[in-house]
Amino acid sequence: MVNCLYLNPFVFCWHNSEKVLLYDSVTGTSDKLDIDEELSSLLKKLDNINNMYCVQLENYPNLYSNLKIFVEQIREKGYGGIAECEGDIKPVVLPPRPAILRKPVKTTDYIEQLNTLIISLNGNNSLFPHIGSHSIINEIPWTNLEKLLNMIPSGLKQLVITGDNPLFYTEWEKLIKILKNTTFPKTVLLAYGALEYLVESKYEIDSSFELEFEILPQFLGSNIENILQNRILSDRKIKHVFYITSEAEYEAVEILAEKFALDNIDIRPWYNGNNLQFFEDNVFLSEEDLKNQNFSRREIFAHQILNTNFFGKLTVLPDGNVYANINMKPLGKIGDNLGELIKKEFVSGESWFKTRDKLEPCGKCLFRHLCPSPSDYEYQLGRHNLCNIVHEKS
Amino acid sequence: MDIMFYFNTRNNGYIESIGLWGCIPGNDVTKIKQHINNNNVFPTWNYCINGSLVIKALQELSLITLEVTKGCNLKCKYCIHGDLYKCNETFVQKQLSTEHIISLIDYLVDYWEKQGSTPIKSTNIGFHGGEPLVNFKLIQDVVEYTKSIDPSVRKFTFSIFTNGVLLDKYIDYLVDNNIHLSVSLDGNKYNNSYRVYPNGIASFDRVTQNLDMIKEKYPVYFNSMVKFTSVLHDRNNPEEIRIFFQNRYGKLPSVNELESFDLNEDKLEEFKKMFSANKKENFLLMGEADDKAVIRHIINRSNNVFDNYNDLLHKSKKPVYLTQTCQPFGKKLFLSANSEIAFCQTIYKKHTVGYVSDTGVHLDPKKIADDYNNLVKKMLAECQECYMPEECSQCMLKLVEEGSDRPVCPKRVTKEMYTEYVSKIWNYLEAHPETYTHFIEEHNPKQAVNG
Repeated sequence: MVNCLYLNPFVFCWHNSEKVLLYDSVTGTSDKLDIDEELSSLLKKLDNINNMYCVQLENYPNLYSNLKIFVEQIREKGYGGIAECEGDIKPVVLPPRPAILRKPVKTTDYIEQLNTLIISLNGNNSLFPHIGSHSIINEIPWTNLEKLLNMIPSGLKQLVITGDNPLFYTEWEKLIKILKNTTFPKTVLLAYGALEYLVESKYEIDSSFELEFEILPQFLGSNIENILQNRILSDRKIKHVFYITSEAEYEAVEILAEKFALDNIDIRPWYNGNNLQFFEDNVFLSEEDLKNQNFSRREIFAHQILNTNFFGKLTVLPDGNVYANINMKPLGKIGDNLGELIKKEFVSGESWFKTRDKLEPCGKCLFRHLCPSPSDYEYQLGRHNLCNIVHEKS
Repeated sequence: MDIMFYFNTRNNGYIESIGLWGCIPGNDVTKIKQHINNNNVFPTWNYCINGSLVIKALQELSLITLEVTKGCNLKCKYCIHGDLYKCNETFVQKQLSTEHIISLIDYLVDYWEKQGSTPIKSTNIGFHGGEPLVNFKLIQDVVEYTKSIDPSVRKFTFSIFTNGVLLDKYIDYLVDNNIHLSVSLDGNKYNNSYRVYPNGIASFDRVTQNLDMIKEKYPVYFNSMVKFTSVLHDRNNPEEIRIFFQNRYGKLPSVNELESFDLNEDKLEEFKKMFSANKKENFLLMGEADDKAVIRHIINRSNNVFDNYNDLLHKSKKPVYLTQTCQPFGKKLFLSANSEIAFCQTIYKKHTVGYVSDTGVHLDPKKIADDYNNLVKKMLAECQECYMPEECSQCMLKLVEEGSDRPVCPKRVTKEMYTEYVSKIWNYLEAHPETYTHFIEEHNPKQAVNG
């Protein structure tokens, strides 16, 4: 009869040379423990998928030091247990390792990976925060746009139409007419100033489109109040997205939301180059922040495999460049085959699969698979770790 | 090491085996329940559809199957139109009307045009029979007619499902128009001996002579456009079929079982003799666990397997529809030689959903959805008592009899069967843990690009 230590299939076990983190994806319970040589050797065995999360525990129950604490925690907190085994056959647990059944092979398979397409139709995009640094005074030619629309997979989760003012796009009516008959969700994203044009019948956008308005910090003054006051489209559900650079602006948005009964708002931090402290105080994560959230097995897998902010998303700018991430080089032009562009991102891209374990100092952090995927903020702030976690030595 | 204990998976249930959920200290069932709730272990039932879903399916229709004719130049012993089955149509020579097909295509084009410019799709038209080549004129007329349709609305591809007897007469046209061929052949001469002319003479020599000719005259076409299907019965077996096709044509056929639906009770013994000798193994009822069954279980129950990358981003699993019944027109639209519309050729004798007449196409998407939902409601009680509904392979349309309130599913898995099943799965995994490790390695998501 031998004793075997096993971990449950919903428990993750990450370690470096000094600490081990046990994470129960059912309850969100976690424990960080010290490692010594004996425990380190056991952890390596648990890491080996061939052991199926179950390893022989010699000398049990006469254990000492860190190994003893580790086993006690596992039993007490329900991370796993001890099984008595006879002969060669030991219990098997399916360790939490992700598998994908259908990886793309053909060009059409790659097109199916697209879940969000953002098309900026015109202008220099200065009102569109995500494209702020690009200076373009252009409009996408209709023939190219039509070709692109023809390549959109029917399973698309979101099409976003935007631009400096997409309502002024030369073929706006033709575009809306075509999109009206499509089954995927569609959003028209406008800078708040475009609101006044929507009353004109030629710019009418029917209810098959969601409407979103973006309000940058500099427009949080009285002007926005006037616009909200005269809410022309009071019968339409509109999402207001406010970008803020400070706590004062956050409070201002809260007052606005209450005053004008805005029930669908999103408040997003906006880096202006001078408000790092605001980010450190309000955006940066601490170890406690991560421990207080309950991440499912799927969410952890997602963090391990792909970038949850960028995966499946393409952005087309008015000059026709197509990006997997507008902070990086374009993948190609709007006339290119969509499947080929996506394949390029799969094979050699740096966005859709940009995970924390590929970055410094995150790659060595015990919490890297709990932490959200890298986002635009990391690019804007010029650092990979938006956190206050002190990193253990690897 | 057997499963320790489990409860019904459907009614607030859970299972616990030493492998699947681990040994929860103190058998803390609350924790297991929490795990199940948090991880959507069991599918969200989605058994109601509506008319717009039917319309969407028509807009995205990828396959139209036409029963070109009920007539056939062979009289195969196991033919679904033959005397083994209730609806014996051996001597019926009914042919489908070209005008009705054109009417149907025009009706669908109207849907496709309304869909707008996204996305351009291709639809395959499959010519079935009887033997479709006995009505070659119709095939030719349909292929030519589709050439008049704007390819930006829809592109067409074609397939013919033939016994191969008449291929020498029409092969030039088939090659010229890139028409896919699927030839029914059950293996070598003895393997194929149920496939005979009405006078009892075997069709093997004529069919293989035609295939050899195509292989020699049109090698590129033969390699890329010709497929084979074989039916398993008591005169062949998978290995002999494989050897025959591999050696003679360098290809492998798709292998199907005899259809066991709607059998003629007078011919049951005869059917059983032909069928049971080579029935595909169903380990749940009669065999042992193997890699394939274990992997299926891992895919369905481990929570580690995702269909594609985008599924990692979704908060909930995709809804699972009750039974394995196709969504209306989700896979195909079938038009019978009598101009009746059905979801597929297997069930059309029992369940049609519309028809084409000289006045046009008669389809009511809302009524189709309502009828479908009513059938689902009839199945619900049966499915709720099944322990493996996620792995269902049953089409409900084959089960629901007119007037019956509760159909009986021959594939319903009982508690006892499920106990045996899970025990076998975990016993197998304990002895062969490499089944899991190899599967995970093979489907490693970090290697995003195959090859």
